[in-house]
Parts: sequence; structure tokens; C-alpha cells
Amino acid sequence: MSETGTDQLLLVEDSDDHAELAEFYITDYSDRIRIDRLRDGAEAMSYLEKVEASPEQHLPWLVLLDLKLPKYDGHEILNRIKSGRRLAGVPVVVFSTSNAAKDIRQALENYANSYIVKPMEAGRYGEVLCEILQYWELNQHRAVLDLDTEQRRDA
Amino acid sequence: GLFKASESVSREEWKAFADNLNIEKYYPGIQGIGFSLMVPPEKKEEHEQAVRAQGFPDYRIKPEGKRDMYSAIIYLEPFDWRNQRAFGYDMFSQETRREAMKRAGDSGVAAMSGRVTLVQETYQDIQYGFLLYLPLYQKNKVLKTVQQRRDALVGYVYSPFRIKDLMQGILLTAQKDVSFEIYDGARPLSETILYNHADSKELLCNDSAHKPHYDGLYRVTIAGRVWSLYIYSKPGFTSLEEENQPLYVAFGGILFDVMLFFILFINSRKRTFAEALAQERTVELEEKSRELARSNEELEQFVYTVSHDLKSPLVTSMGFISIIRKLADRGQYEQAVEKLDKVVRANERMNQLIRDLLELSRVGRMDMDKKSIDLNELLKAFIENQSIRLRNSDFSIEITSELPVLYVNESRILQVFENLLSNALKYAHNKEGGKLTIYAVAEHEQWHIFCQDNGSGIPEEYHRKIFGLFYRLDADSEGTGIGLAVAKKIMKFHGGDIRVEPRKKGEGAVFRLTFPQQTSDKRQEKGRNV
Repeated sequence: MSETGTDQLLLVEDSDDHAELAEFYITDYSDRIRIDRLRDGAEAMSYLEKVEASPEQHLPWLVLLDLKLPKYDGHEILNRIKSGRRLAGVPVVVFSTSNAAKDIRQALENYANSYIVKPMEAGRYGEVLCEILQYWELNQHRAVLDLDTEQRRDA
Repeated sequence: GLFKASESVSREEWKAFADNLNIEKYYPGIQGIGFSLMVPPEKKEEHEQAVRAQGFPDYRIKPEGKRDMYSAIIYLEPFDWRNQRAFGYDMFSQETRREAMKRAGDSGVAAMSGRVTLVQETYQDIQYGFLLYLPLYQKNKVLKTVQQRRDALVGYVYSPFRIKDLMQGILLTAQKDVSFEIYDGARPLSETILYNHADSKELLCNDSAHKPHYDGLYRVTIAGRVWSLYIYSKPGFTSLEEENQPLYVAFGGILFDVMLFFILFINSRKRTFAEALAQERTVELEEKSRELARSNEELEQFVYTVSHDLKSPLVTSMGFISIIRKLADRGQYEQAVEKLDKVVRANERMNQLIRDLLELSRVGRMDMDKKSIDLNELLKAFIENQSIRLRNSDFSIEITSELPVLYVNESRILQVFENLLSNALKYAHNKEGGKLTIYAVAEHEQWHIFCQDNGSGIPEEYHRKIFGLFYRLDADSEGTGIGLAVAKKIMKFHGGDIRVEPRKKGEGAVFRLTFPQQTSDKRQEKGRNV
């Protein structure tokens, strides 16, 4: 957690319900995480391209990426991030309902930092998100990447 | 199949194989080419029934009796009057034949039997004969030891020969100077005479009284069997110089002809049969694996799609239930109750999905009886039923041509039109009021029913995707995305199809339902006019 500002979490999720779940638990966990939601592959793609293209754009602290997205799917977005010179260092946690081997394999081959399956048991959704956030807070990438830590009025 | 092995050859295939050899033309004396299947006692009953079921009600393994092992001639081409006597015959039950069969089976190579009187012999023109056996084993088995071969033995490709026909057929050299006798075995005994080329009945080999000028006794081994070949000069052949054809050539000629024939025959049988079998199997196998791969893929895709679409609302439901608990714990009761809506909706969605899936699977099975349906009347009634819904959405349906009478399942076809209407209501928006136009066109052997709306059409890239299970162009809309998948299944069931027509400028989406013409055959029966 940055001392002064907030961390930007990019939530790429097409389901409003799942996004609401995530937002509830993330803000519950910490009010220093700012969630930016992208609703489909096209939005995500253009956002990322903007960030990659201009050095003034700060990088997100963490990306939570769903795979089933309209227009471009999660795998393509993942690929875009991990092949960008600036973006590649940003941790991407694939967060999907799919536990299919072919999805897991493809994500790892595209250098996803981890692949977590959305839990279907009561209570676990919140717990798993907490664990993810706790873990990535330990990561030292913030020390060397140009993260977006600007304070913003609303999350 | 009749074969225990992984290959199975049908009667038709055997006939084709044998026909291809053109037996009578190329192989004189040969009675045909057949297949004898080894049948263990515990399989005898099953085997006989299987063959009877192929159209031979009187078939049984002959001779009757309990034995440790049976064999049965199940294929024999040409299946003429002589060969039919051999059908079902157990060659293994006869000593001479059994000896050769065992030898062939244990060694893995062709074996010739001793002298026999063929089963095909009747009372006309009796000759001696012999049989040549080629063992056939299960595929992909190691056949290095005798025991391995015995374990893997399936049966034999074999040919019966009538010796006189054979000899007279294969002898390529003119035989005015020499004649010969063939004995079965290493010693030329009159009891074991196989063939006497001379017209006279006397055998000269052991006859010291009438010794020919030149003679020779040769032993030849063909396919594990020893023949004694006694070749001699005919009376009237006096001197070497007088003849054009040297005697040794004549002798050698006969020997050569006999040997050559068998070598070629055995080799060609082995190769051709194996090749023919291999080729057929390969093609069939390739097709089957392609089919299998295709349906496996479809199944995988189906499972993948379904599991995601069911998991997602489950995540939502459970996720919000925990949030409700948390909020309640914190005393935020109002907010907690608000979240209940999400849970209910997610569960409803799962329910709908399950119902749709059952619907989809049912399309293949039950209540699929068809009858002659006049589409004009069907759709008129349909439009009436939907009138309130249409009015509320400022939508209309118009039929602009005569529609055919088709032999279909009424409720299923209605379902297709309902799905199309639902889609049109959802996606085809037009300021002047939505409209669905339906018309029919006959072409070749088919009827095409077109459903065109006046919306903005469907982009090219989605034309095939929309028929996919749970695929929705607009994820926020109502519905589970199963409508078109069901429609497609229904159309396929009727032998037809549903497709999106290529886009034309200014047109909305056009769906084409194709019915094969035969579905309207029944209409001819009913005496209606086209």
C-alpha cells in the first residue's frame, strides 16, 4: 500500500453482478484501493493502448482479469498487457469462473501472473479477494514501476 | 462382426476381393478362395446364429459332434453350386486338412495339405485335390513364437485345388515329349498318387517292366509339403538330337511351372489380401476418427459453455448471500435485504438455463410425430395469438406469398417462428414500427421460407455465431441465448436448416428456413394443388 496515495486496481469484468461483488469486498478490505472497471474487451483494449502509448499515463497496480469478455476475450487482453513494454510488468491475476485446463494453460503461456477461479461457495468470494490483495501488496513492483498513485475524489 | 479380430470383413467385401482376382481366368484348378474362421466351442452357438441371421437359415457347422475346436468355412467365392456344399464345413475336423492348418497356424506361413478328396466333389469327374492355407492373425499382435501365433490365430485364407484342372492349366510348355506323375509325399507310392498326366491308367514310376528311355524322380517342397515328381519321356521319343526341345528343358519346364505357380500364387494371395484389407480399414478408420473427433469437440464445447453459464449465476448467488450476512452482522439490514434481489435473479437465471437445456435435449426425442401442416393457416393463427404482444411493441407480421403445406411437427415449427419473432422484437428496432415479413420460395427439391425484419440487420461476423448455444449479441438483454440453437436443432430434425442470409444494404436481418421437398409429399396424397 502506498503511504500517501491510493493504488489503482483495474477490474476487467463484463458481469455487473460479479463486478459489484468484487467492488464490495475490495472496498471492504481497504479504502486505499481505487477500482477502475472496464466492461468488455473493446474498452479494455483501448484503455490499455492509451496507457502503453503515452509515458505520462501511470500504470495500474494490479489487474483483475475475467476471461469471458465480449468483443475481445480475456486471453487477448492478457496478451496485450504482457507484450507491451510498459505494461508487461503489471501483475495480472486472471479471475474467471472457468477451471478448464485449456484456459489455464493458455493464460499461463501468455504470462499471467496467476490464475484464480472465482469461488462458488458462500463467503469464499470475499476471502479469496482478500488473499489476492494481501499477497500482491507484498510485491515490490511498486518500487520500480511508474504506478498511478494519484489521489482521486471517488473510488 | 463375425471376426473376433479387430478387422471384420463382410460377405460383400469378400466377394469383391475374390471377384477382383478373376480366379477362373488366372488360376486354373483353383476352386475358389475362401475364409475359414476358427470357432472355439463356447462361441459355436453364437457363431451359427450370427451366420443364420445373415440370410442362411439352415447354416450350421458340419460335421456335427463335440470337438475341442471348430472351424467354419464362412466365405467361399465363387459361391457356385460346388462351393455351396462347403459352406459351414469344419476343415479342422478332418485329419489331412487339420495337419496343414496347424502347420500354417504355428509357422505363420502358407501350408499345403496332403492329398484330399474335396468336399466339393460330387460324382462327376472326380479328381484328387489339395488345399493351400494362409493363416490370418489378430492385428497388432506379436507373432514370434508358436504359442503367440496360436493365441492370435483368427482363421485362414485358403484355396482348394483340383489337381487335374490345375496341372492342365499351368503347364506352359507343350507336353508331346514327356509326361509325369505326381505323388503326395516323399515316396512315389501308388497309394499316394496325386496326379497322372498320362492318359493311360498305369503308373510307370514303380513299374520296372515298362521303363521309359529317360526319366527322373524329383522331390519338390511346396508350402511345407513334399511332392514326388516322376517325369519321363513318352514312347516315341527316342533321341535327343531329333527333337527341338531338349528333354531337360521339358523336365525343368514342368518343375518350373509348378513351382512358379505356387510361389506366385502364395505371394500374391498374401499381399493382395493384406493390401485390400488394409486399404479398406484405413479409409473407414480415417472417416470414423474424423467423425469421432468432431463430436468430441462439439461435446467439449457444449460442456464448456454450459458449465460457464451455470457457474456464473452461482458465483453471484453465493457471493451476495455472504454480503447479505455481512451487512446483517453490521446492522445494515436495509441494504442487506436489497441484495436479496440479486440472489433471486441469479437463481432464476439458473433455473431458466436448466429448463432451456432440457428443452434442447428434448428436441431430439419425444413428440416428434409429424403431420401435414398448412403453414398459411398455422401462421395466421400464430399472428392472432401474438396480437397483444405485437401491438405493445409496435410490431407487425406480414405474409407476402403463398406458403407451402409441409409434413412437420406442428408445435416444433411454431417454436421456430416464436424464436424468430422474439429475436425480431428484441433486436429489430425501427422508428416506423417493426415488421417481420414472411414469404416462401420453391427451389430444386426444397422449400425456402424467409423471415425478414426491418431492423438494422446482423453483422456478417455473427451470422454463424448466433446459432451457438447461449450466444447472445447483447449480454444485458433478457433470454438465455438458446432460442436460435433450438431453432437450428428443430430444423435439422426435419432434414432442413436455418441460416442467416447475406446482408444487403438497407435490409434488416433475413433468416432462411429450408425444408426438403419430400416433407410436402404428403400433400400430393391429400390431393391439394400446389
